[in-house]
Amino acid sequence: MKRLTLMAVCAALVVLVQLDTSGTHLLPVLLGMALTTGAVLVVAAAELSNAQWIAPVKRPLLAAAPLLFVFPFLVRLAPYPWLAHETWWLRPDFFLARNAGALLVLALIGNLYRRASLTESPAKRKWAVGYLLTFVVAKTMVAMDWVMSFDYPWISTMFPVLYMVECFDAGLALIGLICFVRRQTENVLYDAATLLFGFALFWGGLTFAQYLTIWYANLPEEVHYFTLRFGLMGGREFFAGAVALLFVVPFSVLLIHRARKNHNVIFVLAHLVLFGLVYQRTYHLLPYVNLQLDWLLAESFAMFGALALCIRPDLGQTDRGV
Amino acid sequence: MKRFTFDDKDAFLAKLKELLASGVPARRIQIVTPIPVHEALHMLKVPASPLKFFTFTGALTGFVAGFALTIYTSLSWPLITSGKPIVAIPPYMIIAFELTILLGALASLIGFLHLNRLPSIPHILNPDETGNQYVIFVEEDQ
Amino acid sequence: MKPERENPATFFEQVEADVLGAMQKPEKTYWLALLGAMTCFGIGLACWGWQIYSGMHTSGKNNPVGWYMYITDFVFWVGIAHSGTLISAVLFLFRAKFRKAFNRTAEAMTVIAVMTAGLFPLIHLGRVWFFYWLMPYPNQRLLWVNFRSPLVWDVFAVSTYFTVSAVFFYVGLLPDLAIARRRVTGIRQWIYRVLSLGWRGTATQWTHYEKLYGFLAAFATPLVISVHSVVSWDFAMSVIPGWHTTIFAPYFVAGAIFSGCAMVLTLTIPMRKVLRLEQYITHDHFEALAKVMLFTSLIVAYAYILEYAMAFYTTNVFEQAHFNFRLLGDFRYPYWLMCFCNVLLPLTLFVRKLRRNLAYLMVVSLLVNVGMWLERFIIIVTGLSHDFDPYVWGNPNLSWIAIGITLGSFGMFFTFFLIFVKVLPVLAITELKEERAHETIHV
Repeated sequence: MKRLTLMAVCAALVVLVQLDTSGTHLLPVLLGMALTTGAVLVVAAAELSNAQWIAPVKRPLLAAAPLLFVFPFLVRLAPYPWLAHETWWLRPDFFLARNAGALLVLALIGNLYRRASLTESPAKRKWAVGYLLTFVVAKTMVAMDWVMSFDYPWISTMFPVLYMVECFDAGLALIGLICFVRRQTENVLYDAATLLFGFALFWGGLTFAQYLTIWYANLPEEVHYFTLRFGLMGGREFFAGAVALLFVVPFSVLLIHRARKNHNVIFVLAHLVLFGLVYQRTYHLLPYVNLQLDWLLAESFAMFGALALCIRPDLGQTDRGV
Repeated sequence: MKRFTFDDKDAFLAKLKELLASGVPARRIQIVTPIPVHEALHMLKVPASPLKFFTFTGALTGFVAGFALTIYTSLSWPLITSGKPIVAIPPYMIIAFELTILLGALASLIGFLHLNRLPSIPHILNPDETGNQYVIFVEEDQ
Repeated sequence: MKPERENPATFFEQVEADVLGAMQKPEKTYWLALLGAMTCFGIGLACWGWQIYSGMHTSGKNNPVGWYMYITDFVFWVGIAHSGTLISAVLFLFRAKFRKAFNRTAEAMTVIAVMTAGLFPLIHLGRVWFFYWLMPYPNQRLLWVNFRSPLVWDVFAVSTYFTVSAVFFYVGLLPDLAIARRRVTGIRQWIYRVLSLGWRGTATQWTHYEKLYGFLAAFATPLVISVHSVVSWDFAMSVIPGWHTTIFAPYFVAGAIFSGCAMVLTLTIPMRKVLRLEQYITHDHFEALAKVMLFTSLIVAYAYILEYAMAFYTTNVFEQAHFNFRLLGDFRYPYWLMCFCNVLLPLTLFVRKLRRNLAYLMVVSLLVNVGMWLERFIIIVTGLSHDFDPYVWGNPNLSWIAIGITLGSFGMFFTFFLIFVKVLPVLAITELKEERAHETIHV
C-alpha cells in the first residue's frame, strides 16, 4: 500500500513537472535532487573514509536512493534563452538525452550501492566510489545545463563545485532532521554537526572565491551575472539570505560545542540550511524564471512528499555499524 | 612531600583513588604523567582550561586589526588601483581573516605559556625527570 | 601487521629507544646524502648571487613571460607545505588514526617547505635588499602597501602560515623534547632542556596543552584551504585566459595536498628503512596516504577536464585558443607528461596491491612531484606566453641560473630535512604512547 502511494506521488510529480512550461519546476526538483543525491553521498563518503558514526542513520538516508529513479523523468526544458540560437552542446535533444542518461546511471549505481551497503557486502566500497564518480559527472551536468546555461555564455568553473558542496550540505541537514525525529543524541549528531560546521565554512570560502574573482577582474561579461540579479527586486536579499543561512548562521552557532550536541538546535539549523539552499537557487533563477506559485506548491508537495514517503518507513531503523 | 611512583597506569589510578577517598584534598595532590590521563584529571577535578579566552581575544583583535590596518592605510593615502574602490571590502576580508588566525594562534600560545608558568627556569636548570612513570606528589599537611 | 600488544610500560621505553636511536651519530650514507643536498643548496646560492650581481635577465624571464620558474617554485613549495598541515591538523580533527605515523615528519616538511617557498618572492624581486617594502610600515615615501593586490595577500597568508605552522610544530614537539632531554647528555641535553621549557607533564600542564593543541589544529585547518587559495588568486585575479577562472582556489588546494602527500611518501619511505622504524610506519599507513593522494588526484583531474570543457562551452575565442595552445602548442610535451603523472598514473592506485607496494609508491610519488611542478609551470608559462594579442606572444628563455636556483631549493629542503632527522624525533613519541595506552586527545 505504501509503495503504491509512493508511486502515485512520483507519477503525479512527473506529470506536474512535464506540464510545467514556466521553469518553476527547477526550484523543487533541484532541491529534491540535492537532498536525495546528498543523502546517498554523505553515506558513501562516510563509508569510504571508515567513519563509524554514520551507521545509526545509514538506513533512513539510503532509503532515499530509490527516489533517484524519478529524476531522469523530471528532465525537461525550461525557458532557456539559448533555445533561440542553439549550439552543438546546447540543443534540446542532446540536452534531454544526456541529462536523463546521466541521472539514470546515477540512479542505477546509487541503488546498487544502497543494496551493497545495507547488506554489508564487500563490494560496497567499489559501489561507493562508483557513486561518487557518477555523482560528480551528473551533478556537474545538472549545474551547467539546467542553471548555468540560463546565463550563456557566462561561465564560472566554480559553479558545479558549489552545487556539489550544497548537496553534501543538504545531506547533512537531512541527518539533522532525522536525528531530531528520532531523538538521537549519539555521536552521529555531534559528528554531523561538526561536518556541517566545516562545510558551512567551505561553502562560504568557495562562494567568496567565486565572488572575489569576478569582482576583482571586473570584466563586464562576467560581472553582468551579479549586476543583473542585484538590479532585480529581491536579488540582493536572496544573495544575502543565502550567505547568511548557508554560512554565517551555521558557522556562528556551531562554533559553540554544546550546540553541536543539542538536537533542537540542529533541527532549527537544518531548516535554515535548507532555506538557504532555496534562496540560493532562487537567486540563480531569478532573472529568467517567473515562479508560478500554484505550480511551485504542487510540485513541492509532490517532491518532498515523495522523499518523506521514501524515508519514513526506515526512520526507526538503527544499524549498529561494523 | 610524599612521592608515589608507578610503572603501571592502573596501579597509579588505584592509588590516586585511595588517596582521595582517604580525605587528602585534591589541591595538595600533584601528578606527573608521561601522557595525559583523563581519569586522573577527572578525579582531581581539574578545572576546564581558560585558554579559550586568550584565543578568542586574540582572534577578535586580529579581525579588528586587519580591517583597521587596511582601511586606515588606504584612506590615509588614497590611490586608486585598477579601478577598485578606496575602501575595498572583499580583499580586506582576506587580510582580516589571516590576521584573525595569526593573532588567535599567537594569543593561544602566550596564554598557554602564561597558564603553565612556562618557561620554568628551575625546571630547565634542574629537571626532576620522572620518565615513563606515573608519579603522585602529596604535599605534607602543615 | 600490528605489533603484538605488549605491556604499555615496555612499549613506552621501546618507542623512545627506537625513535631517539635514529638521532644518534649518523653513518656514512647520511653524510653522503647531506653532502649532496648541501652541494645543491650551494649551487643555488651561487646562482642567486650571480643573479643579484648581473641582473634579472639571467633568470630567463622576458616580456611577455614575466613570471617563470621562480613563481613555479614558490607555488610548488607552498603546495608541498599544505599536506603537512593537513596530516597534522585536519586529520587530527577528523580523528584519523593513520596520521600518527607521519605527522611529525609532515609538520617538519611544512615548516621547511614554507621557508623555502618564502625565499622565492625575494629571489624574484631582483633588488632583494628592498624586500621589506612588502611590509606595511609608516615610511618617509608616504606609501602603504597595496592591500588590494593579491601579492600583498600572499605576504600575509604565507607569513601567517609559517608562523602558525612553526608554533604548531613546536607545541607538538614539547613533550618529545622533554623525552629527548632525558636521554641525551652534554651540550645537547642543555639545548633540549631550554627548548622543552622545563616541561614536566603535570595535570594542569596537560589540560592546557590539550586545549592549545586543539585550538592550533582548528586554526591551522582554515589555513590549509585559505593560504593556497590566496596563492591561486595571484593568478585568478588577472584577466588572462587560463588564469582567470573561479575554480582556481579549490583546484590549487587539492593540487597542493596531492603534491604534499607525494613528498611525504618520498621522504618517509626511505626514512623508515634507514632509521629502522618499520614497526611504527606500516603498510596500512602508506595505503591510507596513497588513498588521500588518489582522491586529490581525481579532484585535480576533474579541474583539468572542467576548465577545458568550459572553455569550449563558452564562445570565448581567447579561452579556446589558450587551451589549444596548452594541449598542442610549444609546451605540449611537458603538458602531456603532466597529464600522465597527475591524472593517469595515480589511477593505478585504485589497485590495492599497488597501494601497498612501497617501491611502486616511491616511483609514483617522485613522478607526481615532477607532474605537479610541471602543472604550475604549464599554467604560468602557457598563460603568459600566449595571451590575447598575437603580437606579444613569446616564449621564455632557457636559463641555467633559474634551473640552478630551483635545484638549490631542493637542496635547501633536503638539507634542512636531513638536519631535522638527526636533531629532532621523527615520530610523535608521546602520541604513539597515548595511542598504545588507549588515551586519545579530546577536541
